[in-house]
Amino acid sequence: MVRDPTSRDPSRAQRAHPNPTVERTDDPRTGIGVVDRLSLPVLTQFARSGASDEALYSTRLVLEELLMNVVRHSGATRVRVRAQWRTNGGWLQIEDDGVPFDPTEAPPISIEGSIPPVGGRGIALVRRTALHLSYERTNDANRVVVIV
Amino acid sequence: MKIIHLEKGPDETRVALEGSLDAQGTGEIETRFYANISHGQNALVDLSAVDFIASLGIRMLVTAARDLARRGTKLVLVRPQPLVARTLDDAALDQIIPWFESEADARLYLAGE
Repeated sequence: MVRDPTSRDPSRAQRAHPNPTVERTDDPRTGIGVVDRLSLPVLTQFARSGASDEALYSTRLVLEELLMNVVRHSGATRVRVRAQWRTNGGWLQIEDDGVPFDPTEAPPISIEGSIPPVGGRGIALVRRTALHLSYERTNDANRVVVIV
Repeated sequence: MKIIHLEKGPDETRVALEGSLDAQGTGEIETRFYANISHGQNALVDLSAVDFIASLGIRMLVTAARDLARRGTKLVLVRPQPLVARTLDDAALDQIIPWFESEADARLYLAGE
């Protein structure tokens, strides 16, 4: 009898059969179509991997806001999304070669005064939605990691 | 993204939206949306067929609400889907635009009751 070594330990099963990693690269100078082209493969894979409707909604929101920010404000020529559905939720990594921008430093949502600029309210929404958000600047690129 | 229903009554303009208020969807209707609610009347915006909202959609609603407020009228939202309502809460939108579970409640609010 062959014993399945992953049968008693879900974490081992997850390591043995991880969900696929989605990876897509695009040119943000082509406009807002980039958002759908990079988001839809991630959402499709997360749905296949068992993500809840709430997690899919959060994933879509985070990708929409971060990618729109890259398209409209970064001056980047390249943006790459990598994503994997994991036991603790959806893991997303967004990299671009634009100007330095740290979303973890975005101010909290404020309703006072004038309407916040594009990128202000959006990044604040990312901070409210993400279970984890981290940023590093490496090799002249922004790298944002989000867990949703 | 579509404006699926538009009705100008004696007391308010009612607008029903359908689709996603993401960047693309908002861009598709923004100009028509502003044009249709800027008539010196209160506006009731039915969100029950809107399945997603992001910051540009929220900005459209806030811009419209502030435009109406300057004219002494109000904008209210009706029946947002649960995940859309969560985003409205996360954006603290209820502090700018009230939203209601029924049109009857929204109309009572607009009537000042």
